[in-house]
Amino acid sequence: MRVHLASVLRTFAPGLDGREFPGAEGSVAELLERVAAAGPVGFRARLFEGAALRRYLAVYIDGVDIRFTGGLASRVGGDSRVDLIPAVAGG
Amino acid sequence: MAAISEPLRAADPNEPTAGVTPGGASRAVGLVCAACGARRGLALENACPECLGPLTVAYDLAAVRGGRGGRPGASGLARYAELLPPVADPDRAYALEGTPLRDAPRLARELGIGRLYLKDDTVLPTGSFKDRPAAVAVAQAVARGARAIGCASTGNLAAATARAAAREGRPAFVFVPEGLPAGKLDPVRALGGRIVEVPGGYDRTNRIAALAAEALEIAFVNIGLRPYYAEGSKTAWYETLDALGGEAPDRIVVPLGSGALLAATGRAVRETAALGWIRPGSPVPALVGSQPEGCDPIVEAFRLGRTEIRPVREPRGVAESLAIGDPASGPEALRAIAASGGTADAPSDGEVRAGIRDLARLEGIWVEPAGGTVVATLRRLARSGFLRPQDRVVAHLTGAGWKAPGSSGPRAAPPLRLDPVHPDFSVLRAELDRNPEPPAGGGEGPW
Ligand SMILES: Cc1ncc(COP(=O)(O)O)c(C=O)c1O
Ligand SMILES: [Zn+2]
Repeated sequence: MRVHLASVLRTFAPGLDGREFPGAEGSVAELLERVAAAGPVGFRARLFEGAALRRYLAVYIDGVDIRFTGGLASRVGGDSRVDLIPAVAGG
Repeated sequence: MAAISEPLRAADPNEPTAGVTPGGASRAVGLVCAACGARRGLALENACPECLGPLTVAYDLAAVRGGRGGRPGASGLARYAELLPPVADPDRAYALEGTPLRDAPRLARELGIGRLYLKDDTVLPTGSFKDRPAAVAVAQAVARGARAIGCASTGNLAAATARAAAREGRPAFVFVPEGLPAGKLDPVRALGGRIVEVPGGYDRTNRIAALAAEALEIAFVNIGLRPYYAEGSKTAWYETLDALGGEAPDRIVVPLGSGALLAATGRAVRETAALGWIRPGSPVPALVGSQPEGCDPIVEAFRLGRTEIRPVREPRGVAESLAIGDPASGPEALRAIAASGGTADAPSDGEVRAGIRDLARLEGIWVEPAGGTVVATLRRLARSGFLRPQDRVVAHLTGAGWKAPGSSGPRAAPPLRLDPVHPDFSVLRAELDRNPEPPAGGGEGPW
């Protein structure tokens, strides 16, 4: 799974953007915990509020908003592209 | 950045420019997060670094000098430069003429509304209100040294962005969903904009544009510059209030796409109230949001009393300009509606088309479906009692009919054909006789 971060997140975790997270299929929650762990101390709080996703963070798996596919329980395939974008970006 | 932060410095009395308003008149002091309240400078940021919430421009209202008419001697949007983001030369950057507030007595009578005013943004240069936010965002982009301008558009922002970029000699890349009508795309081509199509609906276009904004040196007016872009939409309210002599209406009806126009209207009402531009004793206007039934995520959240908005996966319907399934400013719009004691409504496509015809028939104004949606909501809420016979109502007409021709419904009767040598006028006479009685005493004639 390759993870792409919007610049507002990138500044807190330089080097994470475009990072490949090798592995088989799993849930978005599991993937994002791995992303959080790969970032600096405190980075998890940029993505999560407790166990929930941050309210203004939009997550797309291969272009599809995870709110359409089961939220944090959505499945991510081994070769998926995952985008983390502020929900307020555009429209 | 220097271009922005420099004029914002506190004036040094020893400088030759001392006394000249910093930021070319703007009283903006920073960005503030609508979700967590974090304060930021007037930076190039579209989301709060703390919580990713939406950022809006904050002003030092105590420093505003202009009255309800804005800066004396200025015209158009530039009148309200104190309440817009800072630019060095607001009279040039914000040179966009204001629009009429039209009294609509025939439509008001038909609907049973006391007094109806139409904020007619169909007359703006590219036929939609988007010329307002595009002018403000492009001014920021240029002040911050952007070499290219971009936007993600359901159709109307495309031409508005191309126009504002053309005036600044910058290339414009407009991202649109596939299959828009010529009324939306032809102006873009004429204005020199580059059209970038994305298959699928607007939400897909928007996401791809957000990725492009990260990857390319393009200043997207409604993505990277969104906090500044949104400010432009406040100006319709300032003009309305001035045209009404400070007597605020009871209700303001606004179409919802991303929700930015309604949220901006809510901020503008609060600012003008704090500035004392609203006459004492006049009502606090209730904001009414209108979204077509085929794409109504904000209206649905309002009805169900939710604070979070569930996106619509496949928006449908005739109102393409409002077909935003995942509205970026939806939460702000929802809060503004609730805080004002307003409501939200979602008419069907049939009602939207009838709204276009009603407005044309009774007031002689041709709108695209966003306007039909608003007129349909006027009819529905007059029936439900939310718009009362004694109310003064302002309704926003945000897009001209020529932007989406063919939206008004069942084909009109085909043209009558006349023989060029022996014309038979009997059919015409029959049609004439079907029309209302002539005025008492008859007209003069023969005509
Ligand atoms: C004609 C017209 N009216 C209203 C809207 C909705 O504006 P907003 O996205 O600010 O809610 C749009 C935009 O998308 C539009 O094109
Ligand atoms: Zn915040």
